[in-house]
Amino acid sequence: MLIFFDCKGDFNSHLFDDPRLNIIRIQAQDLKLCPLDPMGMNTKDFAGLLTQLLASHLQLFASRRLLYESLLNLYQRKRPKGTWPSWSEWISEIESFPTKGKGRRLIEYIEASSFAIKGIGANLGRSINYSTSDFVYKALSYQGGVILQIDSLTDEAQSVVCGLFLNAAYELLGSQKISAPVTAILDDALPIVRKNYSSVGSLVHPIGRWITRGRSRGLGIIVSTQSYSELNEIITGNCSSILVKASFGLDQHLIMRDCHLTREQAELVPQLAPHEVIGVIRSVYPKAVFGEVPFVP
Amino acid sequence: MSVEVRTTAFLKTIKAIHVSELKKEEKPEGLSERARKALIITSSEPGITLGSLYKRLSLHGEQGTQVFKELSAHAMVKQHSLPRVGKGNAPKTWEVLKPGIEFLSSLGLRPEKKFLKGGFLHYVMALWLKDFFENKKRSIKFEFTMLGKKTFDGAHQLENGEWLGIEIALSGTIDHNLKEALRGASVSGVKRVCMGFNTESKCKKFDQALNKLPAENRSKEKIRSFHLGKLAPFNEREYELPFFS
Repeated sequence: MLIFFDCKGDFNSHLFDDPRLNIIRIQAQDLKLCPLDPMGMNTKDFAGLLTQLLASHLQLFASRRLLYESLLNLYQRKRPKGTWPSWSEWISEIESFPTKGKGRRLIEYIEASSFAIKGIGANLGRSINYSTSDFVYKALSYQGGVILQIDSLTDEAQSVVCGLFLNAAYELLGSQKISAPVTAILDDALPIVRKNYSSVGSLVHPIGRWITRGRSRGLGIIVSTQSYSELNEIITGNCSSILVKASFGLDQHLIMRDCHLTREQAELVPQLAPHEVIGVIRSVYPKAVFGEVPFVP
Repeated sequence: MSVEVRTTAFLKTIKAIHVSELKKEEKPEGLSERARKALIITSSEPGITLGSLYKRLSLHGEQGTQVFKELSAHAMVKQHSLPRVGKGNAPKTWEVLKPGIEFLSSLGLRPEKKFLKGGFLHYVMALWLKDFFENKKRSIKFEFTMLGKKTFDGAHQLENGEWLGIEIALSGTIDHNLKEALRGASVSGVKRVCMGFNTESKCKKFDQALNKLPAENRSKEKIRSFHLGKLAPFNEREYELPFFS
């Protein structure tokens, strides 16, 4: 099963109409996400995970406790079986957090977290406000490829959507509800895969968890970007194969260093034509292979 | 079959319920979002005026009335008038009743424990008193028993070691209140007993009854009355109170 996250909106080809490939394309407004559905996880663990995902991308490290505790409050509520808290419910839970006698700082945390979460809610609109949905499960168990066209979303919303899908894939593969392998392709998703520049956030990465752990369960992640030097160390350090297209400057230097290219091989990197690549397979030992790829219109 | 056709067929198989499609009985707890928020805020901040509550929830008067109707239909809240000095309508507040507390505990929220015996308004007055003393950077003890003879609602130790006793008198006859005040004033070490009333007329009646006492009664000089509305946090100006003068 292949899932493409089209973050730029140009992932298109007439080949997708081929019935043998069995590819579907879903727009952001057609998503039906129940983001607080823990996908079989313990609700406490899931609350911690979602908090970490949001905190790492929205730079909300100071509000983590607030986000976590408000989520736990939501999960403790009685509700019809099979339904989960909605995104709007979470916003109102944070906004109505008791502030009496707690000091100015808590009010600032509430403002920061509700602003960030409201932003995602406003950007995704109806798509993220479902009480129950089997969308993610059906998309991940689809026999073929699913393209999620999320270029209209903000970086934060893209990150949340990717994070939710990757987590669901990881958990569903673990409980064997879907069959391995699942390959996620992040196309031009630099905001999601780039380095963390903040000193607090440099230790955690929005999708770092699944990059390091997903391999054992059959979850593969393919990242495509135009700038190698902008990639997070978790990604460059854990990938097994690198396909290098024409690069120069810092990118060329880092590729040479990370992929153990010889001087002659590295000098070839800026001169590569659009249909040429250098492939480095790192799972056995670094070995560069030069070849040509067929042009796909 | 094109991508679009396959996508439409796939989307038709999705089973999802949007939050707006939930029926009223399927909604968590059967309360509207506004009512739930209002209940949480009211329980966490006892004595919050309806004006402040509506402002916090961005409600106008009619919406507020709807919220009250919804909550009172479940017997979750009861409305009270707060004492106020001067002209104008008395501010209102809500008391969270037992069904409301049970509902909140189902959400994992537990109202703070009361530090004083008595009814809801009695407790709100005690909160005002607490805030007043905290703002003055002075300490106050609640339910403090003086030499085993008299328990004051609030007691404050002055710099010279003597005590100031404060009683919140919302109920009871004037005679009963006077009797209690005299009993408190007779305890050795008590410099002053202040009786707080919720209306101006009660204060006047109490003062008249106090003046009628014989001049030999030394305890009467220690007793003062005051309007509890002077302690209110929503007052625009600070009023003089007979605590430290």
